[in-house]
Amino acid sequence: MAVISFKCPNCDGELIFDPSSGKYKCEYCLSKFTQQELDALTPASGMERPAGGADGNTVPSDTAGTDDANGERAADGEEAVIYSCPSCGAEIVTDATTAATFCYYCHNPVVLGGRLEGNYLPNKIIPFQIDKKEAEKRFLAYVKKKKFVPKAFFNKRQITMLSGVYFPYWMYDAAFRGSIQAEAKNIRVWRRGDKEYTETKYYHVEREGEVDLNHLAENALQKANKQLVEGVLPYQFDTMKDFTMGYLSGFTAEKRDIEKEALAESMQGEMQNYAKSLMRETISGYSSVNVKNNRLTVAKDTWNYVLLPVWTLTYKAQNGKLYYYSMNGQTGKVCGELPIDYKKLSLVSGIVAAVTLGLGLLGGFLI
Amino acid sequence: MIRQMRLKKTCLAMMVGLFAFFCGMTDPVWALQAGEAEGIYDYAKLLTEEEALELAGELSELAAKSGWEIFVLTTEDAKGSSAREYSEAFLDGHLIGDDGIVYTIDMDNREVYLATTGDAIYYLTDNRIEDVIDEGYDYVVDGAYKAAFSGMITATGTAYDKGIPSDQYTYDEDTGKIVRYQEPKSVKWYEVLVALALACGAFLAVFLGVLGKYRLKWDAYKYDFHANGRVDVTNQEDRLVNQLVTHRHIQRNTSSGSSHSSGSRSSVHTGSGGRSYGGGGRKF
Repeated sequence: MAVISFKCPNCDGELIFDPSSGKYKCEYCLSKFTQQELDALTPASGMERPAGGADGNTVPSDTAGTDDANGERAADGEEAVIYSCPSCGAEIVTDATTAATFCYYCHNPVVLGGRLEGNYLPNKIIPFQIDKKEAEKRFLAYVKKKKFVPKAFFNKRQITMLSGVYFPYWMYDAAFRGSIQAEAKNIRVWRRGDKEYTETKYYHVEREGEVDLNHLAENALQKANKQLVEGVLPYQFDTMKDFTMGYLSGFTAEKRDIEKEALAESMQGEMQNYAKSLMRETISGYSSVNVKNNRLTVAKDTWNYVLLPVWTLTYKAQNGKLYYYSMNGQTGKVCGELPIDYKKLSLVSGIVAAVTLGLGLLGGFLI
Repeated sequence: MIRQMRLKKTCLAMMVGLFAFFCGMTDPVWALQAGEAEGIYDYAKLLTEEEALELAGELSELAAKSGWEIFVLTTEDAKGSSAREYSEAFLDGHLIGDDGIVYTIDMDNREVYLATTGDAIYYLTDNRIEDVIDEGYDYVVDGAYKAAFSGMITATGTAYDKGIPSDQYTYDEDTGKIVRYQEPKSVKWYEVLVALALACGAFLAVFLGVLGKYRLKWDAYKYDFHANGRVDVTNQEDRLVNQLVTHRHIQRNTSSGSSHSSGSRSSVHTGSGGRSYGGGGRKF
């Protein structure tokens, strides 16, 4: 089951996931199906073979579930891999990390199931909740809201590419156990007659407990622009769903090529610091606190490999320069570099400076 | 008709002549004295011509520095008024602006007097007037009038250089009202510098703020550990280990509040001309 295409039982057209309704939609007969209904169907399958595979090492994909060898090869394969489209039989060339795409010829959505099985089976997924039209609208609204973007920048026609991509992330949850010891002071000052009294109380403070931290996410795809992909965080992680291939139909998806071992140290360190901060914050009500010891050990941690929805957008400015944006497919949060109208920015900065100068001089006059 | 016109002409000529005569009469001595030595009104003829010229130089120097109108006045006949009244009447008659002082040696009342008005009141507090009189008094007693005036003028210059005392206040002897001196509102050069620095800061803050935000230099996503974290404290201890009380004596600020130190008081009263005057003198 390496290459999957979800077919409509009514007309044999392609079913794609519809973010606005959360159902599967046939674009031809407009039928809609729920997840349960889709699960009952048998998706059409194609074939996979490595590009230029002279040994003809093709793997039939009519078996349910992929064998490990298939999954491994996809993982190791640095080169492009060729699939055949289940709808038209044409060859589909993809990157080694592509997990869902469209056939170049018939434009039907295909999910490369083999890429997301075994080790690479995502634990969780957040399906797209913003569809293409909405994404476009939200992007334009976002740009319009930005006051220092040149006026000529707002034009729907300049959106040259807008595609929904499920990006792979590593998500780390950790539970810590530990304790914190500190010396704290409370100072009280009062006057009686012509004397000023200062009372200093010294405390030994100790806290013991557990800290739970969830949903620290980090990019797991080397070729992704880390800034754009992490810039759309956070997601509403409590709406995460168990992974099903169907969600990928109609979108592009990438599988991870960064393993958790590469991120573990930095993410664990980061989490530890957050946990210490939280522990420190349990000490309150003192004038000053001097932490003597703050020790936390990981009691339990969980790594989740998740696919998160991102709209990637390429925008061609009128001077021909390309701008890249990413948008959170769930919340609509946009991230990306914006062009700046320097004249306007200078003018506004100048006005602010002039007002500040005026107020400063007025203040100087009144003092 | 012609005779009538002639008569009118004669009348007019006589009136002009009379007016000229009276004008000359009203100020004959002063005009004579003030001719060369400006600001010196030596009616008692205590100064020689050279002395008067020298004093005039000293006066104009102090006048240029302080911006006040400054006079030296001597009299043999105060016309029944006190030295203070005589000095103030003189100032009323001679001041063009608001700020001025006059050093008077009144041979009639045998008193040396310094009258102040306008801004000079703030600079020449009661104590400072005493200091100024001190500088001239002994010379007056000895009859060295030029030296007396010179000493007083120098002492006034010193007082002016010290500026207005920070705790200067004006005490109105007629009403008992006390008015604290308040600097005229103005923008100082360092205030301009601070305002300029703030303005530059504001410019950069806005400019770089927007630039950085649009270029994704900051404003990046930061994991919100408060929203994603939960602390469960199972054991908690806050033990008081020591307690310390110290005290210190509070210095009462005696100069503040309703009590005013007499050191920086300028006593004033309203002169007969309606002007507010300060001043002081000493009999010899």
